[in-house]
Amino acid sequence: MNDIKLNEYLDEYGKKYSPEPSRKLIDKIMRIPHEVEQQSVFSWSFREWTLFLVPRLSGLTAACVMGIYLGGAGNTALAEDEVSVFDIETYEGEVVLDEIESTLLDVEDFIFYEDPAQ
Amino acid sequence: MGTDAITDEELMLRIGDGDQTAYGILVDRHLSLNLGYATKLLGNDAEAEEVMQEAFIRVWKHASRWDPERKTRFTTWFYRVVTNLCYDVGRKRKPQENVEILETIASDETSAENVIAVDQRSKQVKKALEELPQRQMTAIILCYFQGLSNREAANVMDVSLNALESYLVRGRRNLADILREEKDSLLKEIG
Repeated sequence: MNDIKLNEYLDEYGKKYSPEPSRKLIDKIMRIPHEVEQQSVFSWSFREWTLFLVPRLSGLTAACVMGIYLGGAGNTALAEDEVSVFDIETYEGEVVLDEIESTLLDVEDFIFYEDPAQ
Repeated sequence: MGTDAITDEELMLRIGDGDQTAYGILVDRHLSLNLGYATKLLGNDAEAEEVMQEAFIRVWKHASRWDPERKTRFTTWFYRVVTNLCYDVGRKRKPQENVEILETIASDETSAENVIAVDQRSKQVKKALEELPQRQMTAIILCYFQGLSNREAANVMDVSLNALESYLVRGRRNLADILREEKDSLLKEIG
């Protein structure tokens, strides 16, 4: 089959298989804006992303720093070994606890305290 | 200013803002041509109509994300959408499934005999096109029936210009071979 004949066949086919859209199809397509919601704009612009991310990242960083600061052992916190050190005074041969000691008592040390006088 | 002066890309921007009139103009411009394209790719008018509905849903939904700075032509983007949807429909078909043959649209001016002959030949071409590899068929339909330039068709198919030209040459050669074989077998049956 030569090119001319092939083109002739293709022309005939092209005319035959080019349907016009039906009224029903046009109506369906024209109803789409009433039935389908448009997607919201999602921009990748650098400025918008910066404005979106910077305050959030700053907040997150501040929260992490605060967490590390408050959660770690520092001057403001009572470490376990510091708790056991409390003032013990002797008064007329008897052991008394410093009554104004406000720190937590290490009960174990207190109970098993051996009086050096004995 | 008439609607013809507004480009498709400008219409897309308006559609992105919810302009239904712009949507109507775009439908008016592209429905008929793309319906013909989908019908030729699928060989089935019902499936082609479904593809066109889905394609225009995508236009409406994604218009707000249309980026004019990308310099993409609407026609190229829309052809891509329709092509991919047609490929999806083709993949979902069962292998043995026969597609419905379209009814003949006869011209009043042609004689009955001629109509039958044209009808017969068109069916042969349709069958031959369907036997071609998908890419070759798409290239022929885009360049021959849709009137796209080779470069535009290459953009739609996302291939290089050389690859597109190769599809066209091989497609036409295969098409001619298939039609010649059919003609020969028909002559043998008669003779």
